[in-house]
Amino acid sequence: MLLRRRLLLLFVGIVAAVLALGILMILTLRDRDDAQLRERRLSVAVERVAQLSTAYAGQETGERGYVLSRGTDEFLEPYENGRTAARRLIPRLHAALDTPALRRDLVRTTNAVRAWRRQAAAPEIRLTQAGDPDTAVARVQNGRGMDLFDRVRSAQAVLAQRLQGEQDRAEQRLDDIRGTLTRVFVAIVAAALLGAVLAGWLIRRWITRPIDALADEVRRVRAGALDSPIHIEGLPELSSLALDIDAMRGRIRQQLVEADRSRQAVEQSATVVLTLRSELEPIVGELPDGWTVAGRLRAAEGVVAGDCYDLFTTRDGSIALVVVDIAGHGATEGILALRCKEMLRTAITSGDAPGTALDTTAEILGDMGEEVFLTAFVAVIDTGDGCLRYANAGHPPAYVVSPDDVTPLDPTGPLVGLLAPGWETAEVVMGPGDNLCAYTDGLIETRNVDKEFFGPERLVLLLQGARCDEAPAVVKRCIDEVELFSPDGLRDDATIVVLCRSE
Amino acid sequence: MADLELESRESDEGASVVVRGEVDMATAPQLRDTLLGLVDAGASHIALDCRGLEFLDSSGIGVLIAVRKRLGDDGSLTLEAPPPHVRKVLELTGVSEHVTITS
Repeated sequence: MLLRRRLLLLFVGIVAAVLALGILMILTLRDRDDAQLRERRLSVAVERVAQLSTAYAGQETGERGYVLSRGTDEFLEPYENGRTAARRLIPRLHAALDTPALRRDLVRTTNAVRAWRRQAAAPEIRLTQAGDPDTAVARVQNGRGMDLFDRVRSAQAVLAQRLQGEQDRAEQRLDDIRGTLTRVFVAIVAAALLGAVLAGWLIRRWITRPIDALADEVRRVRAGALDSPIHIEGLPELSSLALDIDAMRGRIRQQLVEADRSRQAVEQSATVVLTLRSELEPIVGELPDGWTVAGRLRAAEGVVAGDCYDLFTTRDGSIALVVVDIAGHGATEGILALRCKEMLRTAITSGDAPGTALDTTAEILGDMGEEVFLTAFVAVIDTGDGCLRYANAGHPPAYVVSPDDVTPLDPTGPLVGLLAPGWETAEVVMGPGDNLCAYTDGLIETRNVDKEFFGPERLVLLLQGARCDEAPAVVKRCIDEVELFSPDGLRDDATIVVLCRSE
Repeated sequence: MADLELESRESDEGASVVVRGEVDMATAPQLRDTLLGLVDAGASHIALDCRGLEFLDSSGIGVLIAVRKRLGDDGSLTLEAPPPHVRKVLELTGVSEHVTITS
């Protein structure tokens, strides 16, 4: 059964019990009020009966005194007072007596009084007042009046006794009702306590315990036990929640398995990527005395760069230096860079001038795609006379730094991939103490936190400052400066190649 | 991240696009979509107002080359008033030979 329905039933049960006990309580209270009222009325009646008895006794004493004193008026006063009092008391008493037996007793009493007055008191008073006191005294003395009044007394006693009985019963009933009231009150308190305990027990059984169990299972899964299923018996709401959580666990487990599979796949292809990268960075052979060369490639993302460089010696002992930058960086660009590097090496080794080597390469590469292009700097340096022949295909100018001069080696043709190829070969001389630095745009387009570019000016200053060092030291210094300048890392591949001729 | 704002207008002579901000790896796709969209829509003469162009890197050069190739021999790509450093990049790469640059 749904929790909502169970709680509703529990609530209705408690409310019904409280309501029933409340109604019982109200009824009992009303009974108590009635009984209290009756008891009070009866005790008033008892008092009035006593007053009535006094009034009658006053009448009888007064009448006898009047007759025996042969007409002393002061004795007539209690007689009259008694009558007035009785007349006043009787209707009230009649109203206070609530059973036919009591009323009958009252009627008997008043009838007896009337008989006494008619047959004894009234004639005797009349005789006395009419001047025949002796006859009146004689009537009193013959005891006829006394007898009649004894009947009054006995009727009155019957009334008083019955009334007392009624009052006792009323008191007893009031006591009984009070007892009932106490019991009902205790029952209400007990029902409330029982309801609370029952509700607590049921809530624990229905909600708290299953939630604890569910929490335990969820914690177990959190701790890594993804294979242990989550299942809860009981409330449909909690069971369905447990099912949902279990579905979630299943999905997490599934995704973990998939992620693991993907990771393994990546690890396998990473081997290929690393191999490719080491192909992109050349191994420099022996160089003639006085010449040092070094290069460094920093990839922007992954481990394959769209940049590559090459350093090798030709058959006649010249040093060849190639820097290529493919737009984009990733495995495809890396492979293109590799192809380009190999083609240039082949062309240079077979004796092509740098410009011609670029022509050949561009022709073989053809149209690489709408947005794919590359820039390249190719130089061949004669280590004998320092003659540097170069071609620049839309690449940032390389620099020849002399003690007192900086010569930019500007493009000798467009970038490779445009519609019209054609590159010239230019020539400068690298004297002793001169350095050559070629790089890709990623190096000078590195930005600092203020979005300033590293720029060619900073690079030229660095090169001038490091002029007497050997090539590896110059490269290291330049890379260190760039990394210091942009601590967040590179957004594009950055390559620098330096050739130094000592003095 | 550098921001790029593009505002294109089409007229009888062709389409013109006001380029403001920086074209780099992050924003180049935006420029590519806008310009190639105009080419696909039939524009054969496209003019870029480069007064507000602050930076153009190789990704941007790639886009210009792609657009230039798409436009073919009958079309034209004009760059109006590029700032000196952008003009220098265009000249270095040789792209300036294939587009019209006005000052």
